[in-house]
Amino acid sequence: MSLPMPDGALRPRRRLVSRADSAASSLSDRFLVQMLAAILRPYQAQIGVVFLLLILVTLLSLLPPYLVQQAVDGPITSADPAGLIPIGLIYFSSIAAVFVLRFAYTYLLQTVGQNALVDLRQQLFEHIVRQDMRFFNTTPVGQIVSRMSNDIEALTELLSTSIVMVVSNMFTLVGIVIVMFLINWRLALLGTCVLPIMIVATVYWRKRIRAASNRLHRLIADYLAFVNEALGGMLIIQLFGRQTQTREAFAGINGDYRLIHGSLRDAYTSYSSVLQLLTTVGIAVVLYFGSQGVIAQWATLGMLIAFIEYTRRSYEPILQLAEQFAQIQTALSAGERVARMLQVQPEIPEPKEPVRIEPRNHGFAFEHVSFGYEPGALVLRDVSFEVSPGQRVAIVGATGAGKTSLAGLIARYYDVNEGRVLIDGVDVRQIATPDLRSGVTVVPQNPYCFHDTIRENLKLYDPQITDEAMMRAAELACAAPFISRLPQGYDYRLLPGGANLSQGQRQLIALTRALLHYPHSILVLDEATSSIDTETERWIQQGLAQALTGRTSLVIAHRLSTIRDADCILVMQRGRLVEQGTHEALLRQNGIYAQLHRRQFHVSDPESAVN
Amino acid sequence: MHLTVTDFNMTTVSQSESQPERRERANLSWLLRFVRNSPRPLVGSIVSGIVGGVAVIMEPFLIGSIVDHLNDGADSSVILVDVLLLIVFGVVTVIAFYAQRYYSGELSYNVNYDVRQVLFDRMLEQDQAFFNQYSTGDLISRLHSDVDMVWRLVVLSGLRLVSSLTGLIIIFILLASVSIPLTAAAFLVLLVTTSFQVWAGLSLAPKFEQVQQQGGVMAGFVQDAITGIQTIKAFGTEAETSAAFAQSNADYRRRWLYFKRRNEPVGMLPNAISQLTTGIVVLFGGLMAINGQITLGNFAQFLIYLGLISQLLLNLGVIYQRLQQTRGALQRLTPMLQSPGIQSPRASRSVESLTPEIRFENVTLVLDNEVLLDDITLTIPAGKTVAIVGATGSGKSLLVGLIGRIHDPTVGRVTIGGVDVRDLMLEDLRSMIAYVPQTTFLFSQTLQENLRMGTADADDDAVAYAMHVSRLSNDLAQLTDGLDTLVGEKGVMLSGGQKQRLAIARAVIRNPSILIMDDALSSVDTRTAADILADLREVVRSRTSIVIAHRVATVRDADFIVVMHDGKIVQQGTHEELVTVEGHYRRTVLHELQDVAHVAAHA
Repeated sequence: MSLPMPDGALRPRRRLVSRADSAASSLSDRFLVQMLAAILRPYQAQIGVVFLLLILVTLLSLLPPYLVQQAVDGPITSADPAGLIPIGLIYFSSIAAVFVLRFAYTYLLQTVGQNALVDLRQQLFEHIVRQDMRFFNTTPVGQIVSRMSNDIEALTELLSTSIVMVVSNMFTLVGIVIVMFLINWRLALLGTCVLPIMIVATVYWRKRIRAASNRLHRLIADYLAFVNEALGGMLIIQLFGRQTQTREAFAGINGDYRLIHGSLRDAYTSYSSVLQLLTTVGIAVVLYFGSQGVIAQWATLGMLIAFIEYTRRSYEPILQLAEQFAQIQTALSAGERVARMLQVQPEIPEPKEPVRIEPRNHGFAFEHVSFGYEPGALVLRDVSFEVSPGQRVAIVGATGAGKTSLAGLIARYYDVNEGRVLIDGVDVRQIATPDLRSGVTVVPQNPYCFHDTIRENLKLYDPQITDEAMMRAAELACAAPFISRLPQGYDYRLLPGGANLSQGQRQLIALTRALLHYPHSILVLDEATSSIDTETERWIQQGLAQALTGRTSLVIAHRLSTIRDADCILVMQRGRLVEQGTHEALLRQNGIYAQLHRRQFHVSDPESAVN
Repeated sequence: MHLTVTDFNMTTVSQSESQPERRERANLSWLLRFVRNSPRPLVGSIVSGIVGGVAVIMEPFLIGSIVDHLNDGADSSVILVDVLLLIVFGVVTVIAFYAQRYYSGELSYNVNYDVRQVLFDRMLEQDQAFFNQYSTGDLISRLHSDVDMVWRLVVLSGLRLVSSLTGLIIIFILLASVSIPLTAAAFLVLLVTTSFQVWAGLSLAPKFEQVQQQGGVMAGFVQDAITGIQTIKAFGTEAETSAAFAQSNADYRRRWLYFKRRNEPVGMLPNAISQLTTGIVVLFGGLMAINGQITLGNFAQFLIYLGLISQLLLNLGVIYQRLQQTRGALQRLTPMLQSPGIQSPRASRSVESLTPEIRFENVTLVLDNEVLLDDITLTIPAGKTVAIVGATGSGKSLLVGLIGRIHDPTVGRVTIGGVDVRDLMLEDLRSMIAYVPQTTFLFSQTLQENLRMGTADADDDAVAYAMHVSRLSNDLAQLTDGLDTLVGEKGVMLSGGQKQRLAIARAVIRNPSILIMDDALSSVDTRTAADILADLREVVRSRTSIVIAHRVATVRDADFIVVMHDGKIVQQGTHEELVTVEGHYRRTVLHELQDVAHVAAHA
């Protein structure tokens, strides 16, 4: 597995870079801030109210120690019980007010935060779905899932809790220091003397904690990728006896995990111990020199008691900030990853002035098309051919000849490097995306089934498709017999990927799905029946022959029967179109196709077969 | 694209509903076993917790005595002693606190490590029935998020449980020795509010669980949609998919807000209550101080202690709440620890002298109350090649899966060389078999590493041979880094045929005594397939091989052919025998013949 070796060292390895990673270099904090500002903009008014309330709460919560001081220096020292009553009243009402106001702003803020994040999550999902196939080929699914769930979750914490915590702590700190100086500047100086050291310590450890928490993040990503792959390939791991190696590789990551946790803990522990020590020192200073002050009468006993409380409270915001550190750090880097993902643009841009194509049977053409997935490695070279509406075209060629790639270009899963792909004479790059989607239907080699019922897998949530149409298509594609044998028929629920069907059954589903949507689209069958037995395939072909009358189609297949009736056969070799023509013409040409054909002809030698 | 290799089981329904989750006590008890596994940090965190709990109490006590001394007009040398003592206790507190953080961290990281390791080890042993029951996304969330919740619980308890309890007890004694009524009043108020808080936390725990669940649903939705993105794009259903996601998203928002709006006030309560109690102390304590029932120092002590008490009670409350929230995670992890249904036997037979003769004896396989294989009896002599044909979904893959114990038969037995496969060590059994599955799973490694995973010690000649047999050698020129090209999810795009041929090479390099190819040439063109088959015949001459295929060309040279239908063997014989009898095989041959005849007529 391409993961840390047991000794924990990551092996350098060439890997294809996902656009979601490579955009990193060009990203600054500014984009993150812009993203947050953009999602919060609709809630400006509410946020303003939140901040007003926050200031109010901060002011109110500064009252109690002051009132205690008033009580001690006034009524208690002068033995005046009645004097306690107004102080008590103000005290209790301030507590009640703080409680109500705090609830109010928390309520507001969490609603705003959650609304904003629901928007962001939706925006991110729609943004990702819009990306082109190249993006999906180079970005692991796990990474996308992690953006959509863990990272957004971390941002939720940031917006609904951490930001308020930070801001209110700042307010409180400033407020307390001001109040302290107003009451007694000498005591205030004593109380705040350790604050600068605390701030320096905070800046120092913030860097280290940030570094460790970033490392932890990368490791968690590795951990998730490893587990994802190991679970996906578990059958192979077990059958090929790779448990020990896999276990060791896992122990390597797991050990790294513990190590980084440890270093994060060490940074934290020393940091908070220093803060705690400084707190004690600060209070000791206030007590000792304050006592001198009480004796020298530049302070009162009530002030001293109040200052013990104030001093403690002035350290609280910093201690709380420290507690929130990891969380804020996590949220910021999560936000950065989300921002980065949002910055990725599809390499297949929407046409500026989209051309519409009519919903009828289309013709299509390739004009000197060259194409490669990676720079420098062309998969198709200078391919040209033309197909008129209603024609059936077949592609043959050895594996890796570029057949699937060619099919993908018609649907514009990728854009060509050179040349043009045309549908009804219009470059696919100029066709409006919805038109293109309804103009081309590709049935892939390894079809995917969604985690839903067979019915929804066929209809794909299109409410306009009737059950009758669905069942007719299933009959045509020969999927009806097996569906009817399933426990709930069309309501049978598939596992993700259709794991509870056989490969052949998944192909039948995909075929039905293709027949059900867009009756005029160019139907591209990419080895769509390769895992289906010959007999069923026969029936399918009879059904298809009837359904495809007058419909343009492109078929990639290895079996003779599927190819020979085509109006035109394209023979591909190493990315080039080497021959084209009808079956008869190609045989007469006596080139590669004829050779290929003789080979197959020979292998299933009919004479000896029947005898 | 992410491929699954779990398509052996054709009708799996999640069994999690029908399987009763073990009792809550059982959930906690396995966690405690893990905790006890690290005795040193456990004892360390308990001891330092007690020391810290005691030390932290001394501070207010000393402050109180300073105030009293001041009020009594004592001189500064007495106060200096008090302040120095304060600093000493402060330092002890810091040290104890440091130790607490250190040991609780150590404890929780050990538990985290051990739990993950044990869980992953279990995953490595689980059978396919298990993996069909839990989706990959679900398992990952259990192996990560749920374990995360567990270690956070451990770190929190290690840090706060002991010190908070110790502190509370000592404060109670100290305060009671000063003024019993004031202590009783303060404790009563705090106790009532803390119990309210705990109760509220408990009743909100299921709501929290619902938020978590919806989060899981959403992650599952994204995983499913992104894995199937090509289908979404092909049919242009991006908008519908986004709408479905929006619904799930809105549902999450609703549950989250519901939970938070109730949880927040509960969370704010302790702070408010502590201030409220302070108010009460100021009023009544003030009155008592005026009346001389307590000293001004006691008054100051009470003020500070109250803050501490509510803090400590809050700590305990938070631990309890966290425990409740973690209950769901513990419950989800418990079934992950169950032992696999398919295991090596206690006493095993050696595979050394086994002849690779495979027998299925009255084998029936029932999964989820559905009979998938029905009373199959079949002998495959050593060194022979048998082909299995049959309609889609007739049980071919399931049947060959029984040999390597992907499933165990419900009735009957499978033997190799006369020995029941269940009497062999799983490792030994599987080392005899090379298996090429229907869908190819490649790891995100180089081509070469994927190839060599079939065997630990293949030399370069063996690699070259496997590359040749699978005809991958023809494709090397296309790949930018040759054998070192990265493949798999993060690697280059291989075509379907290339992937299948890599899977074949991976099997060939193992040099197995039993070779199983499950429709392993379906994406390979006829000509290359014929070349591969010709070479494979050389490879398999000395071993037993089973080939599942649909094309006559692939199966006709087998020593005999088995035709399956609806989980039963309906025909068997050589190609020559079978073409003469009416049935699936003859029909298949005739279809292909018609093609050829048609072609021949036009040639």
